[in-house]
Amino acid sequence: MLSGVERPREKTVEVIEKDRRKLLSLIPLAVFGAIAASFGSATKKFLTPVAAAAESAEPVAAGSWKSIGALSGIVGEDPVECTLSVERSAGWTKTVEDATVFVLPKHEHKVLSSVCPHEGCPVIWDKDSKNFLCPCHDSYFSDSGEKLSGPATQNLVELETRVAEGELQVKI
Amino acid sequence: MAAELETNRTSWGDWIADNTEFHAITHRLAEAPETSLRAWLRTTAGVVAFLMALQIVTGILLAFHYVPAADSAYTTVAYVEQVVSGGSWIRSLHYHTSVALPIAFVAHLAQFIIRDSFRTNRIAWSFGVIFLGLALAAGATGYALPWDARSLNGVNVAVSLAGNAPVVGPAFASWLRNGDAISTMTLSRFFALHVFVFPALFLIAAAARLFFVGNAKGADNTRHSREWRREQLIRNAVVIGVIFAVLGFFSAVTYAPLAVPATDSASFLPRPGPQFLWLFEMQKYTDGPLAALLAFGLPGLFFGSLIVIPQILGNRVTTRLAVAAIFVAGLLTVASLTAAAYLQDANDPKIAGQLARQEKDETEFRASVFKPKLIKTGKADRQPETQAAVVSDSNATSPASVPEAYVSNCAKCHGAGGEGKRPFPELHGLTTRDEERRSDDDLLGIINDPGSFGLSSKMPSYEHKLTDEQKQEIINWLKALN
Repeated sequence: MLSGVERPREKTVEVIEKDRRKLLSLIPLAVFGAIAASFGSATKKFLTPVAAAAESAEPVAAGSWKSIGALSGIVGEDPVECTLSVERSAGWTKTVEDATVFVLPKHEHKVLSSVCPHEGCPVIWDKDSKNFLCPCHDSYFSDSGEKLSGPATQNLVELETRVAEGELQVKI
Repeated sequence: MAAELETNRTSWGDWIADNTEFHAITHRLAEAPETSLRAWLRTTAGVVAFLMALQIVTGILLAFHYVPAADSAYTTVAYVEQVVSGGSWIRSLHYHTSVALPIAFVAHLAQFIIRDSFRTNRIAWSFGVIFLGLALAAGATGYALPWDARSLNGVNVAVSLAGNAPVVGPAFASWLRNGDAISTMTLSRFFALHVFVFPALFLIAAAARLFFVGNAKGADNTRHSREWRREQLIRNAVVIGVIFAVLGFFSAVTYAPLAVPATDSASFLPRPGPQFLWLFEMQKYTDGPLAALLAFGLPGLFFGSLIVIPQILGNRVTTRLAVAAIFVAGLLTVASLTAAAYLQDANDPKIAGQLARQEKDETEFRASVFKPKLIKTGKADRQPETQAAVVSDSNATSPASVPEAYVSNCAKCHGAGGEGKRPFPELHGLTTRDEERRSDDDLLGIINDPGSFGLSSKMPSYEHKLTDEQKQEIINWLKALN
């Protein structure tokens, strides 16, 4: 049926047909690739956490000054526990939460965060040993917040303070 | 042999297709090679599958921000619209695809009739009808989710219609309402139906369709058939690409509607999406049981007869005539009711004016700054005046009966009087509350080794920090806390 002359030509046609098919089969790849790419980039944007300051009518700064009380009124040997009301912007909410700090009248009214630097539990003041103690994993801190023993490798965080019109204020 | 060599040289895509059920599935979906226009008509199956996938993906994305509670839903949707980057596009895509999906299913069913293939492929046809019903049900329940004025009116109408249904009406309405009145509990119902029940039914139906359709004992893997399927994939890709481009562009320039919050819905004039205008228009002329009968009965009759008639009449010419007649009659009814709804709104200056005002309000809302919801969890906020007293006098606030060991060991987390302190639990009623009912031994065990009671690892063991006497004192005190 096939003569020696016709065979190469037939092959060429087949090759061209194959190339055409290969090219055509790139269409689904291109279309679905383009859809996935455009949708993927939108998804990435969509799921990226929104920066707190950009989103609300009256942005709540990351740290704002909170009044603790009259400086002269905070006295004594032991740290004074103090619960402050802190506003934060969190996505579609603005939260008002409690934050506990310790004022150290013995140490120039230094103010310490109550958050244990180990894994974030609130520390407590242990009256007997005169130390701060984290109830979660037994980290101990001195009455000025320095780490003594336990898994924590950092001291309790000291917060920025100022005195305005006789009132002790802390940035939290 | 030659064919085998050829498959060995092909790409990874072919390798996957050869080693999975891909060929069998595509064969079942596109069982017979067809050419030209008829082949293009058959791309509707790919289109509906793509639109469904798009709904699931955009729906999952929206779920990352949405909260299904009456006091928060609107804020979270407004947050998506006003703050989240790409949020209004994703939501608009979800909304407009919900309109496009029923249209695509109608086109899918129409091509069955045009190609006259529903008589031979009755199962595929029946599933097409079921899918259309599910697409409408999923869309209808979705209207409740933003909990705006449109949602509240839509839920009102849905619950009233359900309540007017014969026999099952009151029970149906009460189930939907999930209480005596429409509330956040109703939203929970619509949310679960929209997000879990209908998509799940959809996926089950899709899996069943793949399983049942065609009686292919083995895929037709001849070269001719495989080539045709490859070409059909290209046709599908082209149509899907065009539809996504149109939907994507349309969603970028047209927002999904978001009305005023449900609480401000008094003077709001609600209108449903285009795919439900026929249902809305019918409500203008009917009331009571008749309204329910028409709202549920007509679509039920339409879908039911489309499924049942081919089964009863079988593969006959009359089947095609009957199904085509019902299909066209249904479409004409929907089209004329929809047109009537549009025309009445456009021709009534009062309504047109109100709708224009609402549109203006919505534009203003989109230009405004997002207002977050205020959530107060702090105790300090409620007593700012007495703060100094709280600071200096933490001991004085605790009742005399509280054991000293409790005050120095437990009060920090569980509160001075055992009232609990977020995230730590309260201790009142440990021995009496149904979900607790702790015995003395339980309480002692928890003090010694909280972990073994499945409690949070944040509570450490007090086995060696307290004496047995102190432990007993605390347990006695806990039992008195009811």
